[in-house]
Amino acid sequence: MSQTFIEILRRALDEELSRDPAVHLLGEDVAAGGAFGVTRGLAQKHGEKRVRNTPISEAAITGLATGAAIVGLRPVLEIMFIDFATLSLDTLVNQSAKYRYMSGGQLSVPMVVRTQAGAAGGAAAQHSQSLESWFVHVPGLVVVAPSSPAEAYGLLKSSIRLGDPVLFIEHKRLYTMKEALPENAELPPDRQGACCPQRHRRHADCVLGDARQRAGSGGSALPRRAFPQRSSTCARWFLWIWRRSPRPLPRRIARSSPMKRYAMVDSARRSLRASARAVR
Amino acid sequence: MLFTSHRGHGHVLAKGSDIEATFAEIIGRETGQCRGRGGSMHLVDAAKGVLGATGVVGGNLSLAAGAAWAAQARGDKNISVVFFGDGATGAGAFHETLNLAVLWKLPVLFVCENNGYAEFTSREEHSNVKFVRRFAEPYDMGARTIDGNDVLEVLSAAGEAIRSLRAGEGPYLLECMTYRMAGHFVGDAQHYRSKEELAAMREKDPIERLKKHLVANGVPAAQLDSVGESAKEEVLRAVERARAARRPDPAGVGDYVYSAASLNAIVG
Repeated sequence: MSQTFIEILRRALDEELSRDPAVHLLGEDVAAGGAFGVTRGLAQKHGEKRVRNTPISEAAITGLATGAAIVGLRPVLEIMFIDFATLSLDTLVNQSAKYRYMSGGQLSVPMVVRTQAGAAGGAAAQHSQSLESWFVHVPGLVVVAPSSPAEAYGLLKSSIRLGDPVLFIEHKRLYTMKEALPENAELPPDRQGACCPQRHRRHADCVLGDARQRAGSGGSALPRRAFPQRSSTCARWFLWIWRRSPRPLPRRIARSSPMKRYAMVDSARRSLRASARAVR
Repeated sequence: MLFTSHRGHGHVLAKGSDIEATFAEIIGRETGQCRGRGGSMHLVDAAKGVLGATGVVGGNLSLAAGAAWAAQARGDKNISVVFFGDGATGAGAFHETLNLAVLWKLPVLFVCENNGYAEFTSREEHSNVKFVRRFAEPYDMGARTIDGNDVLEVLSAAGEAIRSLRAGEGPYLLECMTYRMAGHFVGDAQHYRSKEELAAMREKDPIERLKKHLVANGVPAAQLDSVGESAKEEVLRAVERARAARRPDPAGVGDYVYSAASLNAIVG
């Protein structure tokens, strides 16, 4: 049975809330279902203490999630639009992403910040940006951007279980994309924390994505594969970890990247490529 | 659960952190609590409940609220205490956090060490509000201003505040009026204040005042002096040992940035 990106995200959140009492959702309007309906029904099912509305205070709610994560909660914070992540930046960059390092490993921040990006048309300048490339340059932050519902399901669950601060960036135009999850969609225990197939590991710090920009052309043209198997022809998501700083993007990846095979229509892609070049 | 600021060494020691490990961390040695990676402004001693310090003014007020939220969510009786200066009231996050803390009735004690300066700028120049306790008023948060240089008054006021937090009465703001005896950073020539001002501050030193109070109440001065002497020796020994400790290996510069799970699993 096909479900939309939104329904599958909701399913992933629902399952994680059921599985782990430490998981808490917070954000503006999340108890009411959220601006795009991702969290609809979750407050009713799991209680208003586990799924909480916050005031319009991005800085404070990011800090709230960070402080809670430090002492063992697993918060999943929603920042309604990535454009508003600018208000979260100090906490995200200077606190969340740095805590493990600054504490010499004593403390960690197992939190997920869910947000969405992209130009859907009509949302205007402050609600349409793709700021992914900013965040991939922040040491300590993990940036995840799924390009299909099945990927989103696996990646969101993995991100919640990961143990590091994850910025999980959804795309507006993918929200209506439909996909059927395979029967074995539940993450097997030995894959917990694993988001990508082993074969990409030798590509060092990043796996470059592609399919997100195809949302503009009416959906995906490439065949979908069930999580965790991936097509060998191309990687499907942006996954960056700034492991050592500074470290140039391996030329091998840039040359072989799927980005070269597709039209560069998404601004996220353009800025990511530009900043990757600058790093080199 | 303690959160403090760049000027938090005293808080960390008061919470029970080892003095040698603290010095070692301040001078970036491997034997520091944070293995030399935190430094002076980011002391963390998780085992002792020292959950961090921020170099960004006002940067961890919301973290303290978050830790308090976690305690509340789990139903344990832990509270958060966060130290900050009058300068932090300029940060938007300060106001956001007060509102959120009251709304969710979070057990967090906001302790403002009001020393009348934000870096090089005096209170008169950086805030129209003379007493920080007033910021709590619009949120209907309990707040009080006390003489922060009176050890006994601080003890009593803090005790009351903590009792009320543990009773679930919501957050509290305790404003402790004090002085910053030195500059904003080591090497600060302090051209922005007069020698007379600095001399007047020295008169109000809390330790001297406590000493006078104890002596007036029958404690022999010689006993107090020997306490001071042995503390000094302990500190000097700790500094010596910290200085002799090794620095972290540069090859480990990327350690502790990510968890092993992130490094192994995300890309692979």
